[in-house]
Amino acid sequence: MNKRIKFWGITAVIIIFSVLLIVFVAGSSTPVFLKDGISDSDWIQGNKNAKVVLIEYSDFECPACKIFAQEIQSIVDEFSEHIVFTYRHYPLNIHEYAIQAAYAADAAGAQGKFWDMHDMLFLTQEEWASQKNPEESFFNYAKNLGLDMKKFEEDYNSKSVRGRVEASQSFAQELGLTGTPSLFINGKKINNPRSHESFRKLIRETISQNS
Amino acid sequence: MKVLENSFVRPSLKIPKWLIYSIVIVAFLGFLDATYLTVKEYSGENLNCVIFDGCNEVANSEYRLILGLPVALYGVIYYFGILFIGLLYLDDPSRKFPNIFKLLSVKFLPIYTLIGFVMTLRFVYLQLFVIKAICSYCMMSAVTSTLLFFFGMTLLKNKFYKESI
Repeated sequence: MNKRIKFWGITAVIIIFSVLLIVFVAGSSTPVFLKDGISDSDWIQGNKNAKVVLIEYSDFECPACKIFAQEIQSIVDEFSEHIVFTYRHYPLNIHEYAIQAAYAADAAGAQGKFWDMHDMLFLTQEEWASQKNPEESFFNYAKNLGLDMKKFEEDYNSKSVRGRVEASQSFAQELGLTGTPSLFINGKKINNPRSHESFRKLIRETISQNS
Repeated sequence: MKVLENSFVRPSLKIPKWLIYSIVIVAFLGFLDATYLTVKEYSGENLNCVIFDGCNEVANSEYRLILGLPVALYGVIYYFGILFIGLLYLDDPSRKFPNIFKLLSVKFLPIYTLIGFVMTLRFVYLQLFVIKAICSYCMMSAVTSTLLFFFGMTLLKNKFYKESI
């Protein structure tokens, strides 16, 4: 009997200790903060004077970002008076065409259609992500959005657009962001909300704390 | 009933030592891996990807849930179940008088590992062809559940196991 108690006792201690260690390791990530808020070069939605700033580092080829784009749109629509949202590029290296998609969005942005292209790229993500030459699709989307195609092409290939996207990507890497989407509220990185309700609750609480 | 009779007629259900220890060790590793993924899922934090960059693609995908619960949580239950069965067997070093619960648990093991293996195939398929990203933690779980399936099938071939049916 003593042997059995010893066996199960030691086993339970090993299992509990291992679980606690895992919980500790999984929960001990270093907090990440963004020192600066939005800048003039950011693509924004909502009230630019709002006290609640939501920043997303995202990738147009990331399926989770596509889902979050819908979530965020719904949040921005609901709290448009109280929050400002900015989308920043973090095209991941594992996504072959994510960086070109980001160029296309910024090139459309140069003609005031960043958000239209943003929506279009997420809406058609599966389509262009599986193509061998998605640039053709990006140009078609630009055409459908009624953009000046000559200017779009110039901007798409321009150093300024490419430099901007790559600077955003490098910044995200320097921050140590391990994936997309990565969200910040008032400079503090938050855990990605697991439901629309929890996201709404978080935003509501932040608004009430800052009003 | 036949199982019960056999447990008295030929009371030992001997599984090779290497097999039962392998089952316990691999199930324990799978349990730790699934626990890590579950903690990350509930905390909402991004994973620290190793080897492949796509772990957060997978962890944040719509396929991370089954019936509203994280796949990783099913993994915790699955691996813990196997670990517990293995420990039940190891609990009685003489293995001369296996109780009916222990006997049934061990007999149930091959079917249990088959369920785990089918779930693994589904999730590997989703990673490679639907999500198109690889999560190293999920692949580690794929390796452990495949090994457990192999051990489960080895158990099925075990002559003592066959005789006791």
